[in-house]
Amino acid sequence: MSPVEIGALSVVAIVAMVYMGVYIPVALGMVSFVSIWIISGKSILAFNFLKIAASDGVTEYPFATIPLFTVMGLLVSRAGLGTDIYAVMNRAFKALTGGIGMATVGANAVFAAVTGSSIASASVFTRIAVPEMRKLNYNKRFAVGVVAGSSVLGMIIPPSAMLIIYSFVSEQSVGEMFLAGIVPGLLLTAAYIAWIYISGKLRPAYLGTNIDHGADEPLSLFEILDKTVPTVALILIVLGGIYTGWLTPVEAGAAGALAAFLIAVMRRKMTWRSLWETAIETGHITASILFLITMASLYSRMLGYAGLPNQLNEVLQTYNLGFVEVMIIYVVLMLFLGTLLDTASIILIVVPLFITLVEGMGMSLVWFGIVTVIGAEIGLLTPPLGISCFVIKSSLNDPDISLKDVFFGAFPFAVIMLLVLILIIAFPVLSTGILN
Amino acid sequence: MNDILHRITAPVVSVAIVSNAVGTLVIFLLVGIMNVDIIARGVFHAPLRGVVEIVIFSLILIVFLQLPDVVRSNRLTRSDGFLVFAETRHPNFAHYASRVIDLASGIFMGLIAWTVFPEFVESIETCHFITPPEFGAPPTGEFFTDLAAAFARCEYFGTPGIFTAPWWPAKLAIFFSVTLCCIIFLLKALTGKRKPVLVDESESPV
Repeated sequence: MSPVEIGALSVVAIVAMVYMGVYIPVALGMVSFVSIWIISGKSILAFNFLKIAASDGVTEYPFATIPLFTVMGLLVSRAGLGTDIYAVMNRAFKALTGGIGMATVGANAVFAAVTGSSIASASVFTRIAVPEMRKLNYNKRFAVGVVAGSSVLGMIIPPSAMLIIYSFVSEQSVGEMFLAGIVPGLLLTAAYIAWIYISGKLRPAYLGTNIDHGADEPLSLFEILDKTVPTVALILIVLGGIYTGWLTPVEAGAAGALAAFLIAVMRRKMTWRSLWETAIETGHITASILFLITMASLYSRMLGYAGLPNQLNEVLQTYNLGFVEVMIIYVVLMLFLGTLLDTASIILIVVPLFITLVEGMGMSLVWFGIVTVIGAEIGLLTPPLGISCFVIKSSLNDPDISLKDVFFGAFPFAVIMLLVLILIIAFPVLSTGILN
Repeated sequence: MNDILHRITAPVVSVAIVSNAVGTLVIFLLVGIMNVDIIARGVFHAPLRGVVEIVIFSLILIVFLQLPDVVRSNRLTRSDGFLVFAETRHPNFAHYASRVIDLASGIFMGLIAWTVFPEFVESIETCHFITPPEFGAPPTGEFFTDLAAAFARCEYFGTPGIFTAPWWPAKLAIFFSVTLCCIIFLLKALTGKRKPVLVDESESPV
């Protein structure tokens, strides 16, 4: 067998093993190790690759963004900022049919700017927004669908763990990736809100029957300020710091973490115990993501050694595949992997395969990153293993709403994501414009 | 047999938990140092030296000190869909499949431990803690002077004159971590305690 064939076979083997339930970093590492051994015919090279991946894999300064932004996101959730933003948004959209749905989307978008994870968004907003919508006679599928759909904003609007992970595999700057995520994130937010607004006008039964607008409880100016100032301050520190160049993304993460800690303390939401739990949680997340990245670097070295990315490039030329065809293949591949894999694993598996090809077509790698993250995130909403949907089901504790309801509810939002993705693919300026 | 396994499990679990706690302290340290640097630089125009090196060093400690606990608490990234599905139809098959996976993972971790061990030995030998150095000043006989001299001899990372740290503690952390992960995986495979569970919201990082 030629090296390229072995390389291609190993990609298939990894996907199959991951589907079977093998730990993803172990599948990546083990298959890459064996492939390098077979291709080179010598064990020494395989052991050397493994040694380098394990001992030098995490020695990169930008990797520190992972623990720092994770700490910040967890502290922000504990401080109850999500609930606050939701209360204010709800007030603003109250008069409209479906207003509470729009408020959920809006609050998720703002919350996304202070957290990096969709999981955090999904569990916070399931607890606040779903019971509220049910009380006002909204359709249960719509209620959970809105929360599921808008939770993906957490990983597109910066700071985002997925943008960080992409920037590692593609060697792009974390700061640039963050800035590039802003417009696509807002675009998706606007598309969701528009969908709810239009449905409310044309097909109100989709939202629910006999919808109640709830009691009118105006918020005083002080309450509004109290609920918004901490979040706005955090966004200014983190995104403002990166945008002005005053802070590197790593420093922005550290400053954001400290600020979130101070907010939580001032709100009296912080005990020694919860601080310790937050730190342990952060450590677990950091260790599992960085170990995954370490093994993914071994995998991408193996692909390069097998010459697979170049071969893919040649195949493209012999079949005369153009930009459109390549993007269709890419998106379909991500949707397929998204049925079972988590977003980080999809990014780490597909990006090393396609990056040479995309660069060869003269496309921006920043744009490619946004496309990848959104494409991989659609999988959070699709069965059989849409992680966001599982999180919602498990934090809901309502036997009346089944997992099937969550998937059905999330479906229109997954379709909207796909449409926005197509728009972003067609107009790269939407993601790269902000950098110039 | 089971009795022996249980007796081994308890201390292994406590080592993983203690190491996790040490890693957690490093996170606090990281947040603290970075903020001191931002303030020192922004307000007093006097950035700390060697922050980049400290950050990299603490990353190694955080990841590798906490990895065994990640393995212990079943939080290493995986896609459980197939196993959970198999559990409902063929519980025995699912049970053995997950034990085989743990066994394979243990062997893989063992391979990593085997390749990084020489790295650790090499990096600590450069210090000449016990053997006399090949060149440079001979040992004086004064314990602390000699110890300091030994540390200065170590293979280092960082930039000389700004910040350097010996490599061996990092290499030791890596070797310790993957060895412990290997043991924990093997114990899981032998005892077969783990049942596949779907994502619990506190569980999945991404």
